[in-house]
Amino acid sequence: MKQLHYIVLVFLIAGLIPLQAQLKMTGSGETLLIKDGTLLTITNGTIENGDILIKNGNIAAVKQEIKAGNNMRIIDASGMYVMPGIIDSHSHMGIEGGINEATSTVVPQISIAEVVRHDDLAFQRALAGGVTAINTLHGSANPIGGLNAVLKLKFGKPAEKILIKEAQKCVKFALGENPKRVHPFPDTRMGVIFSVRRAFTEAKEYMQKWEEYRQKKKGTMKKTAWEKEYGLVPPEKDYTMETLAEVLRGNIDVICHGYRADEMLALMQLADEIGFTIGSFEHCLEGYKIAKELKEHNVVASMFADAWAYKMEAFDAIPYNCALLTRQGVLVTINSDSNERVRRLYQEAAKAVKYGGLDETEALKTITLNPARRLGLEHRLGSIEKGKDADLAIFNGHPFSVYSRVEMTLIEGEVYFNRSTCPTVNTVLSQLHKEKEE
Amino acid sequence: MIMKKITGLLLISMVLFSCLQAAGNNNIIALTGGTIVTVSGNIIEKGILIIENDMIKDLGSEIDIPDEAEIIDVTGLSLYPGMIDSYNRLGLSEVGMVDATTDIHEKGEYNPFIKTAIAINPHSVHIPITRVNGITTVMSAAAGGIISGQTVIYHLQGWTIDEMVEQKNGGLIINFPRQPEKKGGDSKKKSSAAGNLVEKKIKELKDLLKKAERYDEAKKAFEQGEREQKPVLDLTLEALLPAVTKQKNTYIIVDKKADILNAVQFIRDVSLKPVFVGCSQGWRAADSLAAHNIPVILAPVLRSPDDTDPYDGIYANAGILHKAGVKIAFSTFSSSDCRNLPYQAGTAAAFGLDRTEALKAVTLNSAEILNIDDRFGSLDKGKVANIIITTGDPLEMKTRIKHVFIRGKKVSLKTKHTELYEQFKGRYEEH
Repeated sequence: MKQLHYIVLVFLIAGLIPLQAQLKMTGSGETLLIKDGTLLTITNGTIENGDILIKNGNIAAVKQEIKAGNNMRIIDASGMYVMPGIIDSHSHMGIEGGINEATSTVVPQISIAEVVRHDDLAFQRALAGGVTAINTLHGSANPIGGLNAVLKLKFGKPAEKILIKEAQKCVKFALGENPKRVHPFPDTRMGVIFSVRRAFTEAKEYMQKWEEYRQKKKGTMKKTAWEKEYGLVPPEKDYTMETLAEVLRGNIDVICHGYRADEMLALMQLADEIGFTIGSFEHCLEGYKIAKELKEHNVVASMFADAWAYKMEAFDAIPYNCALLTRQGVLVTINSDSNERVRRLYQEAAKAVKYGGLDETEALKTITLNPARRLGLEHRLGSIEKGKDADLAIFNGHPFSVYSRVEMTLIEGEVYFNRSTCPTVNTVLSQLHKEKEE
Repeated sequence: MIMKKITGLLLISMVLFSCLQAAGNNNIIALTGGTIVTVSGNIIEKGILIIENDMIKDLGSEIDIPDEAEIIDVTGLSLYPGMIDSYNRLGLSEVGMVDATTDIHEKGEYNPFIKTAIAINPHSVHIPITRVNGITTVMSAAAGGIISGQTVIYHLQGWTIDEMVEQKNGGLIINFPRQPEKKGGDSKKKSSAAGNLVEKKIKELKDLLKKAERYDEAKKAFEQGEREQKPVLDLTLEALLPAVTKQKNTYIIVDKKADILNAVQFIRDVSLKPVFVGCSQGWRAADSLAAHNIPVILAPVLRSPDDTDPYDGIYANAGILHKAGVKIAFSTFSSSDCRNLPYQAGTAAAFGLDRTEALKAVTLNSAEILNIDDRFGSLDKGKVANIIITTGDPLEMKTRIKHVFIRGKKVSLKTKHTELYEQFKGRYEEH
């Protein structure tokens, strides 16, 4: 009987020996120490065999050597690469019930934050690709669509807990083929730009009316004879106009889907004339043709690495877009706009090195620090620095190697993806094999 | 006497002159100093590869270089066989959403007579863009209906399709009838009705192939005088003959486990030389595929698995199939994204596929499955000179392709993308 016990023990131990690198967490306690990884800090170069200390969800220290104490959980990251959690600045994940309020051309008042869902399986697949935060958006069916939501991918936590409320608020605009296809007017690019002009012109009228009302109420403006006799009537409250007023005040910026150089120039000219800020052009596949103007207007270019030719307005896209714009001083982010592509943004960023020879750190920034900056969150996200959120992705090789994959993803120090414990093809096959034998 | 001498001299000089001409017509190139990754055998460090006309004349670490060879020094670089995209739509579509530029789906269910080769645009902007990332050969295929037509295998260099083709009429394309996805709300009656429809379609397909077999027998019988009446000409059945007589491959498109198993059953009852295409859920039927020796051309690795499959379902697929003994090749299924073929293979290697096999699955395996491995798929003496010269492993995103040879000729690395890049770089250099 004892012999059998020994045999069983040997098999059990043999089963525990990992066939491939697996990340394990040992110990217990509030503090987490990640040891001996190659740290791609983004802002402070690469630290070989470096350590990261995490307390209360924040990075407490980033050093060559941090002494392990008692009451600490420890992740041995030797042989691994650690980078900041990837930020996808253009996503449609986590949205309940459709992404386009296409019934009307101008709907800035609607808010994606109000329809965020916590249980989108796509989050889990993105976490497995090292993504920790996303900017999830209204679609591109409208010249003026709705407000964005910036989320941490804390899969399973309720929606209120995953929204980053302090992030930049943006209204989604869309130029080009998509809004043309949906409404009776506009049916051309000219009509799309006019829709935007008209909306802002009405908004300015609206703001004027309300300003007059306030001044008349205060007594700093003269009332009309009628108003003196019958009293002041407040103007109608209009949520569409209120939101555009916020854009004109600079509290909300414009996140605009656009492909062609000429349509982006047209919107920049309109923005100058009317007085609103374009935070970024999304897709911006012809951005390389207008690098000068994008830089002058301080617009972020948010693009794909090399996707093209799926529609006519994407037919002049070139994979050198990112490198050229970066060298001309434009801030570039590489995004997914896809539940599939979001899983491998690190591969997409590597293409910016291939096409145009962009520096590797600059390429890494397109999926970390640059989207953090675009979203007004660079004080919290986008690099491995003391004080920032402990949002990290641990790879079994350099993220720019095709042979690498994510082993673990953490958000604010909590593990949200761990390849060694989650279901994989291998675990499913073992289970099926076991079932067959029973 | 003098006339005889003059004639003699004239004759000799004519012969000499034509010999010199012949020598001048020989295109001989020596690629020297590079790391030669043959794929079929060992890696040759600091090797020499001799191209003569369209063939690899010789290769090795210490071989003679012919005097008349043009020497290209590739020290510090690597030589690989040109990669093969085993299943795509290259040349059939320019802009995806613009129907007028797209010739992929013909109407109707049984169109074996449709030849993909007819619709290939040799001047598609996508051809140069594909070859500059190291893909030198593709098999392009129509889709649509249940029998879509015949594929075409071609190399990415030439003025007309006939200058490019390797196999103008390739194999038969069968879009195998698919089990519908079970939706939660469906009644038992509805799902069994849908299932019955699939069974009906498979039977219809089987009957058509059997009819083609009988047509073939009848024709042969008539030719041998054993049958009085000539069988009535039927263009549909004629087009099926190469498939049912097993002269050409039949490419059967199946993706999910249930369809793969249906197709495995199907091929046992018909006369075909099957290659399965797709098999994203192949890992759930690996043993069955291996047991029946069915080669698999994999659908793109960079696709999302079903919600009910684990997150690495498609990533890990190739590795599982290879371990089970299935011969695999990678493909892009695309008209505009073919240049990313190597990263399909590389990502599979990140999730369990042996790296050497990943490279083979875009070179030698692909050639073997497409029946062109006698001349393509590896760097070997006597094979055609489809060669790429790279800064490193072509499956890595950061690697650059420095030279591409197709049938011994260096091809231009200018594309629509490089031209637009140069043009607009110029805008900013002016200031």
